[in-house]
Amino acid sequence: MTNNMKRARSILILTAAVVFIAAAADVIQTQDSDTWDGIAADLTQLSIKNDVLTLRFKIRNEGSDSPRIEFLFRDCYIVDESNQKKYFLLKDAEGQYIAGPKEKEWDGGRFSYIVEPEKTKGLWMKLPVPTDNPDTISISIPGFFPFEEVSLK
Amino acid sequence: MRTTFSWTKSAPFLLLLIGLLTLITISAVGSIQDEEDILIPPDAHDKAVAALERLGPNRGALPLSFKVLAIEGIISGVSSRMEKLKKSLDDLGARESETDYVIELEGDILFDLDEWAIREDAEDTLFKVGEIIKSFNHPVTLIGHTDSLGSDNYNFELSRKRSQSVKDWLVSHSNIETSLISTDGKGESEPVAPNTHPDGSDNPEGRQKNRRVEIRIKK
Repeated sequence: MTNNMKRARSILILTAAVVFIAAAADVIQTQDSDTWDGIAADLTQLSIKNDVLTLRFKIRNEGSDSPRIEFLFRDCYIVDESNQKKYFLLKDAEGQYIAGPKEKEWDGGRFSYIVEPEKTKGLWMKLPVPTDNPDTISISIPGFFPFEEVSLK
Repeated sequence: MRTTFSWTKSAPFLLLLIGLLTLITISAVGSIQDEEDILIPPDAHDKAVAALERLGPNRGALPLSFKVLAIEGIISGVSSRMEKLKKSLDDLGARESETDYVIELEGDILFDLDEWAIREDAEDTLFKVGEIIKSFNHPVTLIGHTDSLGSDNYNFELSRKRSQSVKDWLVSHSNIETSLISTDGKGESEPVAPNTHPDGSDNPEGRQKNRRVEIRIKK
């Protein structure tokens, strides 16, 4: 193998590693569904501004079926385990949960979408930052195992 | 004219090319494809800040301890209050979801046909519901449902009025804070049983099940 070939191979490996690491860094935590086979949820972003916590997820279908992923936003919440408190999503003046996307506005909003194999569906929600400023929270979304020990720092 | 290949000059270009090829390869082979980006409406944050202000200093926090206490009380039998609460829940056929206790009351018990005033003989049932709500002291949602007879708009209005009637009764008779209870009406949109048989004929039993008021008490 010539020096040029060695260099080319090194660059290729390095580039692949950078791309892989960059892709992996987009996910804070992943939880499988306990309801729908092959479905998982990636927590991709957690941000805090004015005591409002914004969470972004991607619902991923790694299976072969096309299930309808369905839950009410009113059933989503976070838990501050250290202070034994739970917080539900924030609601706007019309009683709609500040979250999306919504297939229906029933009960403050419903997430109900078919996710085809090898496709994803985005999801976002806004909640209060817990009053006691804990280091971590857990996040509960119906149909998925809880996201535990998610850092707020 | 012959040009000489230079690694130094070509390296950035090659790096970019290889990177792009790698990305294309990864996305083409076995990778999950994004259906769409997550779009958050630009006014969502302002709405969230306003919502936070409405909640006040505790930001809507609910204690986790209640659930633990309730379960301990029911299991050990040492808490008569919890025993009573469990009995009331059982009497009303309550079921438990991940986040709520759910009680469904038949519309025919609560109301006369096409009416939304509470029947007198429904008051015992509603009294039990009031005791349960007071024991929890957690947010409650009352949701009215109808069968499929009548227009969508009529049923929607009727279901809303019925859930509001139940709320008014609970507030005035059980002294429950009005802010603790929210109401909604679904009309005929969420049946729990078929309104008609497979051959298209009327299904009175199914329709009776669909006429109901759902009471969801947050855990």
